[in-house]
Amino acid sequence: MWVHPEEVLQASALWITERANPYFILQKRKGHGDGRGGLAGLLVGTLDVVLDSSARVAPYRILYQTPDSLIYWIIAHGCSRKEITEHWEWLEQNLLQTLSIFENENDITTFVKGKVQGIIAEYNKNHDVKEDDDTDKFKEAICTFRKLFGMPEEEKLVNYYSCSYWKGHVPRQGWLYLSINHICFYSYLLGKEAKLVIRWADITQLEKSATLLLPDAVKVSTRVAEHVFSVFLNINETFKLMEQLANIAMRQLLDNEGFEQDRSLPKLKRKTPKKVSALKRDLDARAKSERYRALFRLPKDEKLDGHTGCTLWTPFNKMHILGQMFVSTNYICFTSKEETLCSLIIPLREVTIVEKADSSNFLPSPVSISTKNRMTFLFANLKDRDFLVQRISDFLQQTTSKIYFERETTGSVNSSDDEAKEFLKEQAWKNHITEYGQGVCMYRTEKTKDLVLKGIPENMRGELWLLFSGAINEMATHPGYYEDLVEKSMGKYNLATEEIERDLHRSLPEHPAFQNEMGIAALRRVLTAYAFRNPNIGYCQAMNIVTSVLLLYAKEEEAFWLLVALCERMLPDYYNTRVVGALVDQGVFEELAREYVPELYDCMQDLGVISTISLSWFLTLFLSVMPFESAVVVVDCFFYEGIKVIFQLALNVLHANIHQLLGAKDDGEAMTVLGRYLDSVTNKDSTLPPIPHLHSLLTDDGDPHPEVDIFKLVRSSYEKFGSIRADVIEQMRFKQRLRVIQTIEDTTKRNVVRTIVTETAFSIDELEELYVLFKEEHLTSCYWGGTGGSNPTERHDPSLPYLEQYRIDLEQFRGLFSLLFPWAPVNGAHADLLALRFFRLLDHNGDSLINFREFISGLSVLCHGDLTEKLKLLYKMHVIPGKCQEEPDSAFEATQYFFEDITPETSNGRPCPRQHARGYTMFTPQIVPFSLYSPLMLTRALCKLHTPDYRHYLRLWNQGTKNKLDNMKDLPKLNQSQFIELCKTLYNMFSEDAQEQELYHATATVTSLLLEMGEVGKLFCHSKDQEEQDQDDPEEAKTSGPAQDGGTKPEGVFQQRGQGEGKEESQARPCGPAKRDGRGEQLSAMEEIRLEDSSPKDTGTSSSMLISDDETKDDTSMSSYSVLSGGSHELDDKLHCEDINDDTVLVRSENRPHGGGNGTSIDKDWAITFEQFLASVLTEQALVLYFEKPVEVAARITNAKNVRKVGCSLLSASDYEISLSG
Amino acid sequence: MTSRKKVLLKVIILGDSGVGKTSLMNQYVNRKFSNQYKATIGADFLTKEVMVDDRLVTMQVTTKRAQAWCQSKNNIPYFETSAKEAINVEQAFQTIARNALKQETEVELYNEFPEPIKLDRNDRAKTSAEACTC
Repeated sequence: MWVHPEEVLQASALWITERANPYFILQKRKGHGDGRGGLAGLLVGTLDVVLDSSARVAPYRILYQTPDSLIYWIIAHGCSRKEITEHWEWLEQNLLQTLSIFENENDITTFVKGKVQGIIAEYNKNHDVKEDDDTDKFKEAICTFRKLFGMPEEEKLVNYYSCSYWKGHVPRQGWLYLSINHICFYSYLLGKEAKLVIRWADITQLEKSATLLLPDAVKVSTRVAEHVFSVFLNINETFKLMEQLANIAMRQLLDNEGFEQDRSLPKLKRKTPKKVSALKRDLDARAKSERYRALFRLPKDEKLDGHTGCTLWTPFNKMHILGQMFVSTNYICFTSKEETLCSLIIPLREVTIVEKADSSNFLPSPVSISTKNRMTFLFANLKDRDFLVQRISDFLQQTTSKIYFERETTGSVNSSDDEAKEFLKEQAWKNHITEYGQGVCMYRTEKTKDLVLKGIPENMRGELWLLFSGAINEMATHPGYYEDLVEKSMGKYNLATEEIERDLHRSLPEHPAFQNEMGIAALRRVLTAYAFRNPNIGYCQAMNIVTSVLLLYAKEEEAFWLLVALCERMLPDYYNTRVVGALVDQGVFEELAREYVPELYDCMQDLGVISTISLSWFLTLFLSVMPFESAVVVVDCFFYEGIKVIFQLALNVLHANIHQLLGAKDDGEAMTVLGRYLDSVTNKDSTLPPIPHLHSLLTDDGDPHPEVDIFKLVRSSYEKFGSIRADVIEQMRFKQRLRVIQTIEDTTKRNVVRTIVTETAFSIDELEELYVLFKEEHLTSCYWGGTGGSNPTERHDPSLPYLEQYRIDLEQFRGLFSLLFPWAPVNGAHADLLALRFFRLLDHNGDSLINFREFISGLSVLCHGDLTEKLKLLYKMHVIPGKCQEEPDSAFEATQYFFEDITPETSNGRPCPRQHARGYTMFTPQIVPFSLYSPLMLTRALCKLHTPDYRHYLRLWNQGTKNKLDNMKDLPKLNQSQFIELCKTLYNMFSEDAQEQELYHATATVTSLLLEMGEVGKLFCHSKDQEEQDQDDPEEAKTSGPAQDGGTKPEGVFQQRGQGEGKEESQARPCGPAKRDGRGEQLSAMEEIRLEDSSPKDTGTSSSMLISDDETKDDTSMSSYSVLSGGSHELDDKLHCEDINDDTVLVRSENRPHGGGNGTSIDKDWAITFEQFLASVLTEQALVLYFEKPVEVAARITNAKNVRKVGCSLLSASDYEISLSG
Repeated sequence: MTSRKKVLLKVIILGDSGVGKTSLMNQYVNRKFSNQYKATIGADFLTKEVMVDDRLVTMQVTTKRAQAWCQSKNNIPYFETSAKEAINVEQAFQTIARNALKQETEVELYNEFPEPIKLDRNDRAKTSAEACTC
């Protein structure tokens, strides 16, 4: 690849010149490519790693040099010889000739540089790497942003603004960078740097505040600090963007919608300001679409294309009214400038003709739009008429006109109740229809609203609800959807359906329609279908009550779509697991109450009434608290006006009871007051037979509350509180959402910590800090993507129990591991391996994710566990295959195996036999002899060493772990390669310990001791093997094995046997070298063993080649005592001189060809047990002390927090004055 | 009899959805049973004045939907009750009140988890089962 020419100083130090001509040289990085590379190669490699030089990726380069100069210019580099050779050849063919023409060296340099740059430009033009809408200036800003805050490429900058940040009492002038996940500030003035990085997800409050000192300021609060920014060029724009981004972050916390850039953004005219990013335009468009959809209740995926000022001819009052026309992919909408005058929604699916009418002076550039039900709308004063019509007809062409929704004219409800009022209402609506049109496209005016507020007639409710809620649109565009869903969800059982079932009879029990199976069945179908459609919500109590009312007035499918409109648009987030939306609106309600009923506010706050009682008002739209016939009127208004009307009514209810509430002594009394009031709300117009409401049914004490007329209540709510605007509510919702979601996060944290605190020795504070770190790790991976594979956002499931909500994968664990875990070696490569092992061990269910509890259980053992627990963990980590990408099954099974003892909650002392059966039955035959003789051996070893400490520990261990003893025996043995890994881990562990030297020595002693034991154990194993071989049927041999050892797990064996022979072969494999792979191999292995048996000498030297002493040769089990002491001293010396290069000692044995030449297995029969491992460690005081020592996690947490806060490690924290938060 | 003044006791009934918390409460307070209860959204609330051992006690009974039943302890009074048949309801609440009053003198300090009086699952299950059959 050609690069922009750059001066390089040293041309030869680390590079080998491969080709050269007078002007150019082609070089290769030292140590690249040639297998071993030698010392120099190694050194260069290290340098490259340390300096993170680009040479690691591109080991070839071409330099340019004029013959008489010392300066070199790099002009190209390459990853492969092929690539660089191509470049080289091009230079030789094209440039060399030309260069000789020049006389002046400077000219040549200029020429070469110019040429190379030209090539690069050309290349970029042709390839046009990626279509990037961002301007150069903005790209520059992105670079600065990344560099300043150490953000990875995945972090998208949205915009940046000049402003001041108040640090103490001093304003710092600088730049505010707003990116998708962070808000960052940087200023550098007079040698002082101020830097700030906050996650949006940590923000608890975002406010535009105005004080005397700072008229226009934005206050950003987190749990730990407040930050004030001021002196914005355009505070509104900045603030709006901040809100939007914070909202996205909250969404992510709430339901995991990660941010996805909208690629299908309509390409707007390029008159956008220079420094605005494509992302910012995307977000702006998004916000506009959102408002547009909310205004006209359009389906969720509708995107606004554009809008323009125009006039609309309104035939009912013979006027042209001024307003805005909105065009989106499926709709044309209009709203009058004076909001309530008139609005119009024309779905393109209804449109038959769009035509330009003749322009006149009186009516310039008119467009008429005709619909299927023969309505014609006349727009005029359209500025870009041609463009607009073109645009609309484009969209029209894409609209497949499915004529699906033909609602047969109503009248199904028996009109026997010819009550005058109802009749008059119907008449009024009929008049309205003739005047303003019918169906979706009707002119919606003040008159419409008036009629709604008077109550929709019984037999028109369904139709009008569908219309006003916009549900009609979704239903019309999804024919057959509901039936499909019903069919698919039929017979599916889950938590949601279970809950639904429980509530079916408790939805609207007072209504006759739900006193028979027909009504109940319909309710069941609608709710189940919805749970199936939207598993995020599933089912939430209160949905049943609302749906049952919907079903009374609409057909099943219509009720379903009304429910969709409610859950997904009109009552956002209301019915998720934590009823977040309702909590948000409760907060908004409290805020409104403070403003509109101030005299009540303080007392209500004390009584806590608002929060206890209003939840059901919102969740059920008053349906569960008011008599049914009255609450239906509320629903009428709600479908027309939206949530605003619920707030108005709620305020009005408070207002009407001010005096009683002020006199209430406690919240109980206040709740009773409000309850009685709501009970007595009546609908005098109702033609329904009166249905007694629950409260009135049950409470008969005292005098009945005077009746409250629902229509009067609605009216007066408009009079008193009608000024509350929908967009103000939306604004307040945003603020409350931040609060509610962060409160939920805090509660979750507290709950998690409270559940887990009894299981560990960590303090609550420590656990909370750890939780925060854990969650941050999760969030970071949500931002910037994990290691591929599973999408991190999918892992956060708010509906799961608290503990399960956040889970991290290996990649994320690795980071935390090196920061928090005591054993994490400084050496990178091994740290990764150890992290992997640890992760596998913790990942109980084998889904490659661990939750907080699992995480803590591991960390807890390492920090507070006793010696035995720690060693056991260490041991178990190495039983699990380390690099087992190739054999995931065994890893899984191994983790399955360990599932039990690490989790307190599942542990009942003994692992369940079934799990043994799968991976490790093959080990069992060997356990018996080992456990028999090892204590003997231990005692001997201990006698010799004569140090009281060991005995002490041994005694302790004996007492403390007697009950654990059983399952300790069940631990599989370590084979030689696993053991070698264990040794490596041990050596890597101590590298920063104060007692480093001593520990190394101790480790050396212990490992040699263990090597010996393994050797000795082999002899037992051999004789065992021979026994096995004597039996003809290998299958039988295997089953008889475990049977011999006291029948520890006979069930397991039968299980395995039951799995069939074919399976068995494959099952046997993953267990690694410790097992004889397959039948055939087993036989040959046996032969080999017999050979070895006959010459114990060979065995000794081949498998424990470290021990060169003659003593090994006469080794039998009886002489183990002398071998131990002798061997260990030998080894000690050896290791002593080699322990810096820790691997070499032991790795050598790996490379040594052995036995039948099977590369992977070192010594098949060599094995040690956990008891042996434990006992050996106990003989070395340094190790004992090391493992006994409890680890203080607090310091590590603080350290981790500091590292985290700087974002990425690109920055060295100390260089900057950083104030961070979150 | 140290005092004859009114004492306010707050009783919160927690339990799985649909087990009959509202029924129990209403049977106790209003001595009525209905098979037409709606699912309670949020919290419901009733008050009742009773005499417990010569002390006038106002009982506020709240039905609350709770996600999980916390811990249970030993020695919790056990009652098999039926809201429908009004069996043992009065007795159960009397015990609650009496125990609460006893605790009032014993524990002055605020205790985060006061001794819960467990109305065993079974009895409430039974209640609701019966409620459904009629």
